Amino acid sequence: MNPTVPPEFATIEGLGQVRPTLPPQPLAMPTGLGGGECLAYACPAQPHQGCVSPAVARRLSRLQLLTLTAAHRAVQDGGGLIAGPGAGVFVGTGLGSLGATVEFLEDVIRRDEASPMPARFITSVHNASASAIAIEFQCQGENRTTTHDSISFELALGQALTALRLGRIERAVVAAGDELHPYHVAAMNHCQPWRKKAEALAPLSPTAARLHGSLPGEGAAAFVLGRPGGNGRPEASVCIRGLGLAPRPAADLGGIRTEDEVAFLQKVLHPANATLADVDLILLGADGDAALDAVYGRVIQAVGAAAGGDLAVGVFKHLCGEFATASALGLALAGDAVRQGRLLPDIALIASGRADNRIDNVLTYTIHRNGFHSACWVSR
Amino acid sequence: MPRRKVAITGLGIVSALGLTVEETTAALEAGRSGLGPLTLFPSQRRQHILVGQVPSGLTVERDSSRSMALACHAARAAGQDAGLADGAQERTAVVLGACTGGMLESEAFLRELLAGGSPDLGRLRHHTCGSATDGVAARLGLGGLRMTISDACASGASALAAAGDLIACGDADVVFAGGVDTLTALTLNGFCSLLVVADDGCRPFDAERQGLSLGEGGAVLVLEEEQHALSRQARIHGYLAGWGFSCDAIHATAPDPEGRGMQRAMAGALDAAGLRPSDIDYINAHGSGTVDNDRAEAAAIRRLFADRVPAVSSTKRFFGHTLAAAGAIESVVCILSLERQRVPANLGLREADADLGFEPVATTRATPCRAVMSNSFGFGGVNCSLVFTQAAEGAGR
Repeated sequence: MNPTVPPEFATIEGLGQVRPTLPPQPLAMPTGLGGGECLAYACPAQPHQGCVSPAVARRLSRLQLLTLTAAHRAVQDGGGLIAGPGAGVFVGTGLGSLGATVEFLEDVIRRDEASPMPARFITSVHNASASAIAIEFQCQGENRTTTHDSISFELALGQALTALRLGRIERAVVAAGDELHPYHVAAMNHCQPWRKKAEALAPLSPTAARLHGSLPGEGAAAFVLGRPGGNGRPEASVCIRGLGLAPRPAADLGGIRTEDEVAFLQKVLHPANATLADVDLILLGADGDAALDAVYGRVIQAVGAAAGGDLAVGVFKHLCGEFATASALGLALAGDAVRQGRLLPDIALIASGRADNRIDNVLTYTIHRNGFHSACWVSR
Repeated sequence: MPRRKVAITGLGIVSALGLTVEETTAALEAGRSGLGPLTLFPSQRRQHILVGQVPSGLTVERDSSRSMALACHAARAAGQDAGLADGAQERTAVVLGACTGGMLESEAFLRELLAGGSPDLGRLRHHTCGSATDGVAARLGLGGLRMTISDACASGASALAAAGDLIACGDADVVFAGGVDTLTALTLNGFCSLLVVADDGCRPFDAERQGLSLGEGGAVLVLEEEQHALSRQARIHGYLAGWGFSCDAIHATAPDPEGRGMQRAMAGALDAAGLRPSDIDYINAHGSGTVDNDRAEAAAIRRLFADRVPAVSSTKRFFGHTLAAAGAIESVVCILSLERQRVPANLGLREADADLGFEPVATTRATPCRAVMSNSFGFGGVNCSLVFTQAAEGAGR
């Protein structure tokens, strides 16, 4: 085993993403819920083309297509080495296949329970994505789906890291995704308003208007993870060396104390013998909501002071909007940046960091509205 | 890595058999099924099927959901059984399995919307599967990690395994773990659409079984690191000694007919517990009552246990198939078997399927139990097996 890599962490052998088409487009809202439109970040209608065969695709829900396509890209990127009892699948999703669920239920209600559609029921199940990935790649090991609002992806990743650490599996496909649906957008608008002004997201941008609310989105990301020193891809040079997920002392954004957040990030780095001074780029989950941006701004100031150097700060939700598992896309970008050793043009920089722009270490950091914060340490 | 032992110090259960462990025990002992008519929501199917509906007496608080109420009821009982006071457990985690979340309330919303009404969007607040987990944490003052697992019908068992991982790896000392699900139009019509719901109630492992019966409920177990439990002189009901997983990876709903994935999950749980097949005294089978599941599970049991198949029963006709709650409810049944040295009947059995290769337990009976196994298998070919051992001589992981 590679002695420089703590055994509890994993190598990233492959990465895959499905991202929305830019710019965001108007989404029609249900007439029964007020109608109108909401600007939203949507992926292509046929995201799976070229990845998933039509025969397989026609049986799958939109979420299954998003996650399976991301998984295909990750497996291909990782050299295609994934199958058998040593291969696990871990999926995080906030709402599962919401479209299939709504379609099934509307049919049941409208037709008074006459001949409901079994195919829609099967794909409505939360673990349908994990099942589809397992079948596609013949992953016969542990197969888990976590669904807990905006920390669903982090929980899935944590489950995968645990299974790898305990030796239950040799390799894992970790995927996360959520699909855009008008009912969800309407429901979220009730408790956490989307922005009224039809203006694309520019989180933490010093020039963009400070607007209340974010914009809804969708997407998926997937990772092929291996055990350091395992029989996967020895050339895989990017590792997940730390994952932190913890409840905040206060669930309200105003109660967040910067010193607690700095301590949390230091704790995530500690097992890898790293400090904030080692961070080349911190990639934030800021989603353009003025209140949340302000909190990130305060924390980043404190992190920069603790790092004592030129810390590059980036954001990514202008690429995908806000959805429960958007942080998975952030981790995919982080992994890709480390692999390429440079800042990616997709990442919007808030602070440019070191002059050489060399990226070997990225810390992702998300403040979740459900009272958690999370961070992931990705490095060579 | 040295793994810490996972003691079980609290039990809470709510199901068609009642709202307490005592009521559950009495029904198991008496061989009384909880299956009955569906009254929870309007359905054309009421006249044709039996379900395991939780009896009246459960309070659903304002700003809550039935799912949350079931979970909180079970969790509160488990906490009291464990001697843990509400509101003083900042580091205690909650891990629940859930498939339907607040779907029952969402369905009512959708009915009103499709009828042309203007339902309150706030009723969707508890739609997500994680809502019940958050509700338990908030109402019991549990401030640690919250995790919700949705592995179809294996969710409850999978949640217990995930909680076991947290304790075994040193990431938590105390976890409230279990599963919860309510009856919903979604699952009722979904399983009916698959033609796997029995008209006269499920008869697992019976030669003439027709399918499953749906149920609802919740069960929560307090899992605790052994030394933590001993240091506060908690009563230990038993140990979660091992857990194993697999995925058939062959079909979205149907199991591998040979049960190879099921066998791997059972073998994995035994291996993690440091036990051999011959150490198992009782298997609480998944035994859903569908033709395919029971056949595959029997094949897996035959191959793993060979000529020493222990006592086997499915308790699905007691509770109905409670989906995400099933693995947790059946874990409570397993712990009761260890404590009472009695194994429950395979209720509904008239004539065992001749191909099983074993005879399920006909009536609830005395059986020496030192180690028992609980199987949970779900859509997507997801398999999870748990091994529990006696408090007095629990085998460590």
